[in-house]
Amino acid sequence: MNPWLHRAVEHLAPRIGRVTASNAVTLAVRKMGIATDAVRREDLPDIARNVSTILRVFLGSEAAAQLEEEIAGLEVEE
Amino acid sequence: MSAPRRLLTLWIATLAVVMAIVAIVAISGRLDRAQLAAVSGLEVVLMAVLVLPFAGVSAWRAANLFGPTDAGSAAWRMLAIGAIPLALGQVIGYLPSVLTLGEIEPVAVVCGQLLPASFRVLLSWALWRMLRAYRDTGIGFHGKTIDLVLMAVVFVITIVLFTRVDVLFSYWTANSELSETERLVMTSAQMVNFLLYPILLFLSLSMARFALQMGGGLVARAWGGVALYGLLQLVHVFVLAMYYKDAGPILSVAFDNFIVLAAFGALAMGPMFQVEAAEVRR
Repeated sequence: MNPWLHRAVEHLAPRIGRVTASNAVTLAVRKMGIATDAVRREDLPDIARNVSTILRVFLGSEAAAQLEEEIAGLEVEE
Repeated sequence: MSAPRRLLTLWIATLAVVMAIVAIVAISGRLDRAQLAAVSGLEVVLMAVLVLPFAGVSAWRAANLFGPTDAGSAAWRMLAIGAIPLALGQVIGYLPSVLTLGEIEPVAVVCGQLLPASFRVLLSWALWRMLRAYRDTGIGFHGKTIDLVLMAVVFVITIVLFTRVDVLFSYWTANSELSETERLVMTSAQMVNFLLYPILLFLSLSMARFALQMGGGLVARAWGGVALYGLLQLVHVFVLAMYYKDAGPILSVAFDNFIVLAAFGALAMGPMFQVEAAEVRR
């Protein structure tokens, strides 16, 4: 998996589960019309925004907003 | 582990140890049938008073972490509200086996059926609401063929329950004297519950399936806990229906009340996991 997507999934997994996180992130990327392998750091805010609608169902609006912010600011160690 | 969850875990473990000691005393044969029925009822009353408030308070907290239009808000609020008739139903319904309540005893045993039935309706609604919300996310939650097999088993169990209605009647009216009319009302109340069990089971199984498909995480544990309550309900009733006639109240003291404790514990733990999942620190 793309390191940025992997990082986003890792960040969400403790709350919503690894499979849910992975599917939610993949769905968000597909909605944006980009390949999962081609995701770059700059795509994270848009991915976060798309994932947020799913997170609202699982965690509520406040947690979804917080996680959206966190995903948008994720970093990957080189 | 959050502080409330740690407290509840310790609380349940303590209850389990006390109940185990009582079970050992009961098995040693020092109590007669009426005393055993009283002890069994008292244990359920204590479990309801000591564990179910955790479920109500935590579910209310979980509901407040969602926005007013979110499915989670309505579902957890229904569980919080439903925990009140559930706890009241257990206390009122099982008190006649412990105390002599006189003329209100028949009312108490019927309330012991109808109040938990109202909780089952609310729980079924909450589960259905969340199943629909999770499916609508489009991330691929689905049932499996084995679930249909399990549902067929549940259907058979429901029929068995209808054939064993008199056994369950004697369990729920332990140490109570009822007139013919009161018996009829009580039996009707039981039938309402028997019809609710398969619905609750179907929804609990579906939610357990979805929770498994989440691949871990706090939300899966939250709804997994609630689903486990629904599944253990049927186990509890089935065990009683099959073995209470031969074993008597010792069955409850030595075995079945532990199932009830596990069910109440799962119901109380569920919303605590949801609160942990949804809490954010800004």
